[in-house]
Amino acid sequence: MSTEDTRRYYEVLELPPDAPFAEVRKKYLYLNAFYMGDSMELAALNGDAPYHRRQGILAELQDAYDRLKDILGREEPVQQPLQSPDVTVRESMRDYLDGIAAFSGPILKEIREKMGIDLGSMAIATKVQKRYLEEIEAEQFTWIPAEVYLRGYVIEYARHLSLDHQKVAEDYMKRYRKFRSSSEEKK
Amino acid sequence: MYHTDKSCEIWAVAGGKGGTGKSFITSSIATQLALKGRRLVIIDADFGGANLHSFFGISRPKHSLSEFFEERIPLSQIIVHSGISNMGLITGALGSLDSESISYTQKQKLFRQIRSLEADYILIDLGAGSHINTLDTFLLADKMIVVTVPEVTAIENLYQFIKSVYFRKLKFFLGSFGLKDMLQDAWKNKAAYGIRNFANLLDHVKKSSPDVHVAFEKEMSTFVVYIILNQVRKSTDILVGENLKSVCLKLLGLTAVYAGYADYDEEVQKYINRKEPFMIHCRLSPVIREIEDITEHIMSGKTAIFSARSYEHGRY
Repeated sequence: MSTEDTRRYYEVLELPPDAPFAEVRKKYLYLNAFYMGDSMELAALNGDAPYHRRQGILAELQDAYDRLKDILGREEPVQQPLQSPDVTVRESMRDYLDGIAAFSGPILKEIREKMGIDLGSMAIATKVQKRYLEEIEAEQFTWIPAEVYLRGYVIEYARHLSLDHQKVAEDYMKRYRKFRSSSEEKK
Repeated sequence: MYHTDKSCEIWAVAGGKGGTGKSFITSSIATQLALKGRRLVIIDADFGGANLHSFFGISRPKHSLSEFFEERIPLSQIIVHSGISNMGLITGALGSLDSESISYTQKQKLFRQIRSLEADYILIDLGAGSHINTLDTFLLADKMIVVTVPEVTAIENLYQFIKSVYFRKLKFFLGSFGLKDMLQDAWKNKAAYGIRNFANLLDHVKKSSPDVHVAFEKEMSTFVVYIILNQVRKSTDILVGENLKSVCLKLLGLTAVYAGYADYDEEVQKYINRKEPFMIHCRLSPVIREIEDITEHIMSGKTAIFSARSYEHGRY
């Protein structure tokens, strides 16, 4: 990859070209959440940031982050601080979590039950309706209003369990897209 | 219409919405520059609602801009003392002046005389809205500064203002290439060109010819807007400036610098209502430090660093 490309990826993430990987990751997560969310700033743009443009920006961010991760991220992965302090991941739990290759609805449910967290309290903490959390676990995708919302909910879910929410969202959305493309074929 | 002769540096402050604290920020930054020993003139160009003098405790200014427009008195002769050493003040036209009636020649003359004032810095406080006089004065500046507050309506107006400025700049730029009608044509036939938003329009301009593309990139590389966030009440508000910077870049392809923020402070409000310059009398307010930082960032052109720590405490 040329340095020109690298510079461009840093630009996409709005960082100086000497930012360390920890900074890259932080900024990526931040911007990703910003363009996925429903903030006041985006609401103020009066339709200048419609769904498809935001999807474009998100794809660009993802690409820039992935490329920079390839270049810079070979060192130790950055330890994210626990998002919910009431959940402590014990050692045995860590082994169990490390053994998971790809996250899915049923696996998320299993993890949650192992941690002894009920959906009611999770709904309160994440501000995601319990019904949606149940449907995420059951992988019932028929209710989904838009992909960004589902992704947002899955991230909230994973954060509450102190999981690597980026990885969870990636795995989960892959399954969702597979589901959607196969259901479109049936039509 | 823009001179490149840089005897002094011009900073213009605008922002779209009224009541966001443009005059407060302008007067405070000016005071900070004066305290640092810089010579400056501060101009109240809010033709509709001039009140910058109140921030310096002046009730009935001896001279005002109306003398420049109506009686052709040179700008340098209508400067009044601000009460703070190193700082002269040109107060806005109080009352009757019809800002619509300012002619192109008058504007030219005003800009020329602003440039030749004896000072290190000239600060221009512009009114709310996106009137053409406001846009043109804003574009005249070496440092273009916008003030907003973390509220949806203020951000809405700010974004609109930035787009208007950018559009006006684009018009001047294309005019210099003899392509004055391009924007009008693009707008009229927007369906045919597939132009749905500002970014599409910029692409359309860049595609017109390689020469235009190169010149456009060069011109825009120096086009920077400094964002100041005023009346911050909680720590998550701080990131609004950072988000606006990102939006400018991603949606408009425009470089913005987040110059910093000022807290909402009851104390400051008291001094303003008493018509006392708070920068001089209210040294214990945290806002003092924040104004110092903002001024420093605009002088150096460097963006404020809120990154690492504030993201973790941010909303996301």
